[in-house]
Amino acid sequence: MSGLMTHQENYAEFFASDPRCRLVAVTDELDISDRRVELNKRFADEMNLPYIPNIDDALERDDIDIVSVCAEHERRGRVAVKCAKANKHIYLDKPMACSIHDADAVVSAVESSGVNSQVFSFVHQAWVQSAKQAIESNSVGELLAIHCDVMFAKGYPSENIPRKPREQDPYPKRFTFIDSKRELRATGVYSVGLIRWLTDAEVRSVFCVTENYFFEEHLKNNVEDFGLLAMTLDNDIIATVSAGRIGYTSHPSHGPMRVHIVGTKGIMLFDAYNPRVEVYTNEPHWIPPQINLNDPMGFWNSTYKNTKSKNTWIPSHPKTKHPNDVGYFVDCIDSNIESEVSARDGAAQVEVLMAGYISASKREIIYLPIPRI
Amino acid sequence: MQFLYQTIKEIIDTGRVGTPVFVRFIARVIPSDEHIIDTLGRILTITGSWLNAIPIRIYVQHKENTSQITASVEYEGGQTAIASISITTGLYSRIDLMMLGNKGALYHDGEDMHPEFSMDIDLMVIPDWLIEAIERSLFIGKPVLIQEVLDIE
Repeated sequence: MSGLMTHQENYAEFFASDPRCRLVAVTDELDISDRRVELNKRFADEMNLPYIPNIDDALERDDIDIVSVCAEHERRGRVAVKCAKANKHIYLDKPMACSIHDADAVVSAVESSGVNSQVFSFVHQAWVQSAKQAIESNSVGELLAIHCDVMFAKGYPSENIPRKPREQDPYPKRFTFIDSKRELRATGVYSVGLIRWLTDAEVRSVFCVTENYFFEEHLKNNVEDFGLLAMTLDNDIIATVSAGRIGYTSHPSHGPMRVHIVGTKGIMLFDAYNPRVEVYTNEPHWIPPQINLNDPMGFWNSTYKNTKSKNTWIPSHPKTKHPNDVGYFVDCIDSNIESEVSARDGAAQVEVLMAGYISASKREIIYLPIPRI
Repeated sequence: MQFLYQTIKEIIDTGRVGTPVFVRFIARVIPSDEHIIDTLGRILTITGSWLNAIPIRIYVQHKENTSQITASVEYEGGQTAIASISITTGLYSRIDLMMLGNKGALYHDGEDMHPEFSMDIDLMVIPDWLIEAIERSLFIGKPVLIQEVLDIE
């Protein structure tokens, strides 16, 4: 479901690499932009797959068991509902919906159909697994606080962003543009997902600040490039998040990705790049790729195919059971068990993030659950 | 803290990282005579100095009967900071910080500090209103506008 210039570029590769799976087709909704149709068709060609222009036709086929849903943020909720109602297991890009209403609808469709669902997350990465193990083995004692930073070192920052507090729309409707995304959602969702999964606790209150620090593209579209969340979880666990896009040259690798766990016995830090090996050679220094105006923030692999990656920091983590998130999802389907990051968890992530926007607008704490109208 | 503070201040002053916009400061400190609220005030004074900005709003979180405290701060120019302190038994304090500028970043990973490490900074005064704002936020469990604290004073 959707092709180039979406995370399907990654997810399709994950599914293709799993011997239990066979890619069947690329599809999408019928009423989409010409640009999206072209990107979908190009992706289908590159993957040697047929393109089915109407998802309704694709969902009628009984040789399709799983739909990997990567529609643009604004329409992925309704697409996910449609797929679940057609009794297809759904693998969902993050965040899985743009409103609490849409998120609830996905959960309802999944649970009434009895299909499996999973939202993409980092929970199967080695550093996150280590953090979980530390909590479960009581290494830090009773959990008091958890602090998570996930940021992407991409994009070309401008020095011309005015320094003043940002006014936030409490109920944003549009989340994605070709040249920018709402980064509290797009990036903060990783941290919110990790915190919920690591703590096994629900978020009870949210205080949020959204800002424009780095990019003219975000400023022009009035979407934040940076966000901060301060939350209280069950058992009065304190949690904070910093999230955003910080520019290509602001980190030796892909961007800060780490979690501090604070307990009665002490603090432990888990970092996507630690332990690591650092490599310094006589190779030329890494320089940011030439800007591609079709994707100035470097969202997609396909638009920066021939560019060199940063390779000074080489993480040295043990291999995990699942080399990627999809393998675990297929295990869940095979074993008929619910994913640990199901649509219900995705809906909880969406609710926290939407509460964040309300909080940033009102500059006050928002308590969860948000009343349904 | 004196040398780390100065080193970071000097790097900021060179302009290499641009205008500082965000600080994440996580400290594990060994027990001392200083109250955790004063330590938080000290750290927020340091972050304010790096950001070269006056705080406008502060939200402090603390779980009762624990030695952990966390503050989220907004500054007048839209800059932000998160500071978290835990007092734990052990031989060494540890400071983990990240400071983002609008054209670069500083990272100081949390290695154990020298045994004589202290949070003191020469000539740095912690404003009374900052301590009052921290205490007020803790008391009401909500964000506090610094101006309201100043008005009460």
